Amino acid sequence: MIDFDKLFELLSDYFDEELEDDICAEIDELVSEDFCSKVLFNTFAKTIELCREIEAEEIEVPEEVHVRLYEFLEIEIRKRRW
Amino acid sequence: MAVSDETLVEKSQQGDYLSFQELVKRHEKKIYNLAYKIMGNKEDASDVLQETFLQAFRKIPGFKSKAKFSTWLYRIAVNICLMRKRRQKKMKTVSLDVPILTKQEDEIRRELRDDWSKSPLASLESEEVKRALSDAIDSLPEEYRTVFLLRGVNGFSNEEVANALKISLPAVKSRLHRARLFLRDKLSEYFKEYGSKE
Repeated sequence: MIDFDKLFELLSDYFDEELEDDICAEIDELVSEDFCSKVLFNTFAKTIELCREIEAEEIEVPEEVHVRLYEFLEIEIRKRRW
Repeated sequence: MAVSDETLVEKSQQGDYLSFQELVKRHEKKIYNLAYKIMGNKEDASDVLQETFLQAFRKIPGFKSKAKFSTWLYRIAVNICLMRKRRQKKMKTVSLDVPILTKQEDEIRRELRDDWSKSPLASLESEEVKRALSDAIDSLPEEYRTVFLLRGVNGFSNEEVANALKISLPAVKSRLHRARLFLRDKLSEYFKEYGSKE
C-alpha cells in the first residue's frame, strides 16, 4: 500500500508516466484521502508545470553571435582544406 | 523532405562543409539556450556555442553514427559548460552525487497546510514567481541542474540524458526527482513568505 513516504519517492515517476496503472490508482486514492499527501501532490504537480513553462521559454541567438560563429567556423574549414 | 542529421553527419565526414553548416544551423539555438541556462549569461553562452561547434567540427570525423548526433553534440556543450563553471569557481568541485538536502517527512507534513498550487499567483505571469523559480533553478547544484535542463530545455528522455552525461539511468531519475523536490520546497518557501506579508 502506498503511504506518504512512498508517495514522496514516486512523484516524479507518476508525473513522467513511468508507473504501472495499479500504482497510479493507489496514489490517486491516497491523495484523495490524505490532506498532506494531496497538498504535496498538488504543489509538486504545479512545480513541474511552472518548470515546463520556464524551460519552454527560448531566446534567439543574437545576430552578432550567429555571424561570429559562422566566421569562426569558416576559418576552421579553410584551415582543414589547406 | 528535410535531410536527416545522420545524412548530414555522413556528408560532413566526407568533407562536405555545407552539410556541417546545416547541422550548425539546426542546433545552434538549442545549444545557445542550454548554455545560457547553465551559464546564466549571454557572454559565456556565446563562447560555449562557438567552442561546442569547433570541437564538433574537429571531432566529427571520428563520430560513430550509432549514437544520436544531437546527444553527442549536447554532451560536448554540457562538458564545456561544466568545465567553464569549474574554472570560474577556481576548481572548487562538488562530489557528483552530493545530496540536495530536502526536508524530512515530519517537517514536510508540518508545512503542508497551504496548497499554494491553487493560488492565482502561482503563474509565470507573475514576474516575482518567475524570478523565484529562476533563482531556485540557479541555486541547484550543477549536477542536478544539468540533468534538469537537459530534460526540460532540450526535451531529452531520461535515457538520452544518461547517454549525454554518461551516467546511469537511476542516477538521472534520482537527480531529476531531487531537483524537482528542491524547487517545490523553494516555491513553498516563497509562497509562505508571500502569505505572511499579506
